[in-house]
Amino acid sequence: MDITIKDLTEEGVLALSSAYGEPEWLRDRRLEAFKAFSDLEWPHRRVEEWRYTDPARFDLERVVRTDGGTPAPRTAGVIVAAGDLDGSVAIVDGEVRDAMVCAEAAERGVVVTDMATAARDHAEVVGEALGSAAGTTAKFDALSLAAFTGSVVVIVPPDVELARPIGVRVHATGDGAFLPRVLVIAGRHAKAILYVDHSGDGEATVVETIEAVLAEGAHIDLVTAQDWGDHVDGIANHTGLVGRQASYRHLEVTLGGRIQYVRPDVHLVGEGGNGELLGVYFTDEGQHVEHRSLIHHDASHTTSNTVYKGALQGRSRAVWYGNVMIEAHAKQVAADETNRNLIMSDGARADSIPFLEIKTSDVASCGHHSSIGQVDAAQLFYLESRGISREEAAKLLVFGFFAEITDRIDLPGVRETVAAELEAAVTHGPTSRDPRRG
Amino acid sequence: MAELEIKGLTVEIEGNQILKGLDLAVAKGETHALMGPNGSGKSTLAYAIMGHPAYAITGGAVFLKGTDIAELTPDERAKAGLFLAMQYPTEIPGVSLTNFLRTAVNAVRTEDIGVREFMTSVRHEMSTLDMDEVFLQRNVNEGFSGGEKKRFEILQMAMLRPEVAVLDETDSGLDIDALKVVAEGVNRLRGPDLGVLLITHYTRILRYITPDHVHVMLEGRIVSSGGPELAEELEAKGYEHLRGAAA
Repeated sequence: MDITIKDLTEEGVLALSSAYGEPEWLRDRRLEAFKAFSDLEWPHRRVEEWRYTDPARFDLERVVRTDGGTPAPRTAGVIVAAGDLDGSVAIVDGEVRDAMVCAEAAERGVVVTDMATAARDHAEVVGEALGSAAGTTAKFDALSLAAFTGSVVVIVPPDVELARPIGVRVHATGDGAFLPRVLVIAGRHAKAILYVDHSGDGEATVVETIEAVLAEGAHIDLVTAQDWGDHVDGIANHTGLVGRQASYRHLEVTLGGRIQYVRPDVHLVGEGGNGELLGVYFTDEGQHVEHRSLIHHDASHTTSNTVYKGALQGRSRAVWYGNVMIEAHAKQVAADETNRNLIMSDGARADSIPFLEIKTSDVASCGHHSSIGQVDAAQLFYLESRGISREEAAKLLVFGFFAEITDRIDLPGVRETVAAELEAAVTHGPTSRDPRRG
Repeated sequence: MAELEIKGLTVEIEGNQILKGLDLAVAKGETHALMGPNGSGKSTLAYAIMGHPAYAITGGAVFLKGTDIAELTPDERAKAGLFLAMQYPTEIPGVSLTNFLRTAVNAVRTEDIGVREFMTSVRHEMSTLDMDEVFLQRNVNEGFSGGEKKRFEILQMAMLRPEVAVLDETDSGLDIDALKVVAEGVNRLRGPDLGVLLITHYTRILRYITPDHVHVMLEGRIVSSGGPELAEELEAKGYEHLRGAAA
């Protein structure tokens, strides 16, 4: 029986649960989510959430697969650049492989494993956290929880601080539909860095959920770096659920793929929680990338800072939508969001939509900034007049543009990786705009 | 042969003719002061020499070491030995001074320069210009005071070692102490291998940098040329008495 997203059935969901050998409670959780999924309509472009990215462009008739191919060895990316890790695991298409936790971390109770194993060995903590950040109120979120394929769980117990990152490699090597989930559970005052690296170029539709659930005082740095080949289409929900006095820093790096619809959300549900949402995107010929963030202030004295920057070249499109929502009961919130776009060639188009939904008058501060511009002609001339070629000058300016974000990232290997990826990605100088050379 | 030779140059900005047939020659080892009131076309000349895309050469030519540079891009002109110290240096957020300087030096100089040698050289030049080393970590011109920007222009000139340097109102906006430091910096770089075109509105800087030749520019042309005494005459009489000559 072929399972597809479009024609997902209860039998299909049960087959997935059984294929992964899940305990009953997890199977029941899938079925609950399937019910929610069945009750929801398929999104279409007439609803606000999908105004800019037509959901009809995603091929939902590809077969959902639980097996895995052979990934090409990864020679670049954040995990390679990070060096030593405290734990790692790979999701290859529909399969979880090579879960590892270093001895020291394992001794302190750190878990990095597949979903079914975690569901058996840590039923209570996983049961509580699974779906708590992403929910099942949107069609694809419900789909993800009902029909997830190879998925992993990372648990960092209370008071455990990890110095080295935990790396999760997500590969899309084959053709089909893959629905990976990554669940990160950080106990009280736990501290960890997580890298999720995406690569591969199957004819694939990837529906992904990454949830980070932070208990009181926890601190999580999450870097999600996506470098798919151009045959991969993706719908992703990367969500943090941030408890009291907890601190969640997320860097979203979007480079590859064909059509990408990414929701880097954060729910600040505990008093004094902080969310820092950073993003770097670079689009080229034929790409369509939408980032749609909900920054949800659901408790008093919560703070958030969102900075997304993108450069666009070739005929490509980038959409950024950032909604800062402050609930009526959330007092003295401080929130700031910024999105800046650098248009590097004529066929590129960006939309930047900051949105504030404030239900209280008791706000500490709330700001939004948005811009779409080209490489600055005066800066370009200044660099050129110092002997730097137009192409090299454009690169310097693009790096300079992203420095506001990369300078804030002091995590192992991240800054170098982003710089190297951009170096490889910037192929067009803004030559078409040189009035002298036509 | 003059290092920099400008013949009958006419330049337009957005269809307005600013330079109306300008002739000027700067030989190696010489320092020329080009003086003139606001709007006479001094900065237009500077930008046109460097190849700013907004300044269209509609007639005449600029020769660098005998080669017409009309078809050269600004970076090619810099590589050919030209340098322009700008009146309003551009701020470039996100690009560190070190990264910028090293990229420029590697682009312009033909021999490869190692990181160590480069840093030693930058630190040395900075100390002679009274620039603190913390500037190495700062972004190009970002948040610099007027004086800091001008010092940085001279630092670039020192590092890039041009054969012809055009200094566009490098004295503007400087207090007397900063002016002295900048002038000393320029004087140190002067020598038999460098031609300098010092563009200025005021004679003040000429007390610290003694030119070999002085030219007065009015309405897009050079109306008078002479030795340093011409500057003194201007100091005494102002530009107005030369107006008749420009007509």
